[in-house]
Amino acid sequence: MTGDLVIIAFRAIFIENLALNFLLGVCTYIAVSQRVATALGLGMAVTVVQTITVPVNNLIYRNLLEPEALRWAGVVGLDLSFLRFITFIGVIAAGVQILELTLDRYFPRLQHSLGVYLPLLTVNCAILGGSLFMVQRDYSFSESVAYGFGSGAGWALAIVLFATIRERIDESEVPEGLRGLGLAFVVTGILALGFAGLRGLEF
Amino acid sequence: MKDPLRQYFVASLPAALAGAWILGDRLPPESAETAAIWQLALLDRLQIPLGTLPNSLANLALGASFLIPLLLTVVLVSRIWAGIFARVRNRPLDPAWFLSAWLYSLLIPATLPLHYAAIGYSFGAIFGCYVFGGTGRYIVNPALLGVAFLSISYPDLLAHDRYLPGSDALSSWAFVATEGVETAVSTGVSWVALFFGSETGVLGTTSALASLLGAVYLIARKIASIGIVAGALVAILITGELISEIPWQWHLALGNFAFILAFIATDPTTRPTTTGGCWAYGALFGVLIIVLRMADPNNPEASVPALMLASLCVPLIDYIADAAAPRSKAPEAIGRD
Repeated sequence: MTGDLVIIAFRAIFIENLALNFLLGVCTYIAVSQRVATALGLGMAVTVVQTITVPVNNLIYRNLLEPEALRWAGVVGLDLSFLRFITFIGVIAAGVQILELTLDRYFPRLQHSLGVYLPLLTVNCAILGGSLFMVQRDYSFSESVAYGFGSGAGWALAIVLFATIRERIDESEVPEGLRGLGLAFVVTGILALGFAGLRGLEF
Repeated sequence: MKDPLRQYFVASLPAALAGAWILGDRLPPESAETAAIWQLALLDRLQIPLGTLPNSLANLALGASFLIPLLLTVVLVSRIWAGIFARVRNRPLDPAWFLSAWLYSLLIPATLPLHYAAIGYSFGAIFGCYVFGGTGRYIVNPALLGVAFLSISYPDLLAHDRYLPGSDALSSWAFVATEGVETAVSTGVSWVALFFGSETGVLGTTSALASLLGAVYLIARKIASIGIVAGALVAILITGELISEIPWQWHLALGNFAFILAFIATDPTTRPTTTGGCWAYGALFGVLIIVLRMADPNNPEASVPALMLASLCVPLIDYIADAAAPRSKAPEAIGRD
């Protein structure tokens, strides 16, 4: 059982990486990767948000939204799964708000350097994507904890690697038309190519 | 070519010659008459009297008939791209244009169609090297990126059974991985023979011995970092003993590992800047190879993705090394502190 959870987390980090395999959350990934320290802070923020919101969304979906979920309350034949998008976003928004208040209280410098991208995590497609994958793959509660952590940590790994590479290529003599965003996408492609080498791993 | 680049060429020459010789030696005998293999048909048309040559020279010529067309194609493509970028950017020709093409040619199977070789190299050279400003600035070796691109985009061309022209024999790694070491030994495959180079594999990488001698030469000339080579070997030894069903020394002799370690992993552009970082980078490469080979035995060559990932971690390794032992700050920064 524990082994299965470790494999789910491992797959989410390396093989089904949200940023490099599904290209989710790329706007934030490109925008907040100028400095490694900030990228690390945002990566940790995403990991925390994912580890909390994916299991919470799992509980809500399983007990309230999915077809026949309300059987425990005596309601039969009800399917509220069409509400999952708005519910998941609501949970994510609440999670991000709590995180923002916590950072403001204890890590004001990090909160300042993350700027507008911290509240924007609410509409980050990587975070919503994590919860939707949880539904699609029919994860149990414990599996969703492992997946939430793994998908967040995978996104964090991608942005930290990307930020370290960006700091290094700042010194490169890049052709004019490719400076900045252009080269950022080329590097993302090379990173994705590197991670694609892991896609055949079997456990 | 600048001196370190020339030394890389000299150091990898024995591996290339051994690879060509072994390819000639392993070609299935009936394929000598097969006109379907255009290299052999061409040799026949040119009426090169291979039969009159001593066996070893004939083998070398046969192997070279596969290596040379690939090499010429890739070198031509490399020269064209280097020329275009030099002209457009008004810079001198990239100094490593020949070396990258040479190493790339040794990392692809003999059966690879020439136009695919050209496509793979073009991707590696443009997106791996020139968009970063050329040699000395890229993050992944362009030859390695070209092969990685081919293996992801055209996996069938680099499959296990595509290594020997005119035959669907499995690569030595695939054979050992699927049959196990004991069965392999019972069918006459020995570690010593594999280590010396009697291997079905990618063109220039069959002889682990030739590659490791090249690595020793580069280390002796103070071009390659001993930390990378030693770190990878130690990691192969430890991880191989711990998690691999195949003895660690077999990993050393099989597949591309020795060649990639000697000539690609030691690339001065992509290696970490600190000694400790070099050890960590080499060790990461070694660990990844064993993990990938064990968890993904269907991947024809674990060394390519393993080194891709290790290279992409180099800036992170440097960042951690820097954070752990900050280098001396500039005077004004110290004053401000």
